[in-house]
Amino acid sequence: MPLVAAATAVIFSYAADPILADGWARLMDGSVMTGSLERYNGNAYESTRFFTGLNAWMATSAGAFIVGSLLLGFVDGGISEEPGWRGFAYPILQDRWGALPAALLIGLVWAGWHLGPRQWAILFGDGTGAFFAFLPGYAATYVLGVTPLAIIFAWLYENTGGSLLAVFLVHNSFNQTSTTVGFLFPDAPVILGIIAFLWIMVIVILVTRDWRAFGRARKRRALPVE
Amino acid sequence: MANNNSGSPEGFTALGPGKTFSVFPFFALVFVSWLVWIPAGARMAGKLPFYFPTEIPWVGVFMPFFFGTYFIYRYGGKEGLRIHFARFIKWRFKPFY
Repeated sequence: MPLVAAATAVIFSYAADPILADGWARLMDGSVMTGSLERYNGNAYESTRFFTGLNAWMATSAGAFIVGSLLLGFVDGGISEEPGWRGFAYPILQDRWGALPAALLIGLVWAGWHLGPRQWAILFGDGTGAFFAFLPGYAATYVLGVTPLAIIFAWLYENTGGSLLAVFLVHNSFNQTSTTVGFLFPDAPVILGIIAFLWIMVIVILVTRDWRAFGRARKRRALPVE
Repeated sequence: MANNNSGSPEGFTALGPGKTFSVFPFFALVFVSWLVWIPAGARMAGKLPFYFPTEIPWVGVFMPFFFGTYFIYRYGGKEGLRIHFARFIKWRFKPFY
């Protein structure tokens, strides 16, 4: 229900725009796959063998591309991150402060952690002036985008009885969707749209899904007694 | 041994009274990822004077997995790990909410 409401709001916001039609055309003519593979290849330059081999296999067919993308997405972001953020940190903080404060704190730390190689490339490539000009907007984008994700994933974790599998799947779904939408609408403010979409989801969850229960501390422990 | 809190969703188990655990060592240690992402950034800028395989920065992505799992083992022992990994395949949940 929250997903449907949020998706509907975003679709309506784009419905009157011809960019939408161009995006669907890109999906059908294969340019999304081509663009994704180019990005994968760009990321994999200087690979020892693993990524170059994987990318070469993914380029062999649309089926291989979809399977490879899903597997990569499931591992990169899902398995690689969620056992720490949701599996370990969230239940402990939730027990102490309640779900919403726990999710918010994790969202902030998670956003900081996400500031990956790109900022350092600007520091080394363009100098400290460019780095400090770039960093505030870059960090703000991550904080605004990752914090609602932390709330959504915490809500999901709560409502699936602590299933990391569910969070892996939704994390993967988000990564794949945001990447694909970026290729579908290269001229649109996709990042702003995604951030708006995520915050709409958070509002819908908090308003329609018992935000009081989600927000207050419930004594629930994450780990076993030895 | 593990004991479930009353009213807790399936899969959540108790630490027991009086036990508290800090997540801040975990928050600090996940930033070990930056040790490989900083040289990766230098490589992207063409400023790294040696070969730096793409696979190395990818290892940084797994630091939350590694340290989350490590601290669960440290605090919860083998039983903690069993519960932790059981959640990886916990597939009984509603498809719609």
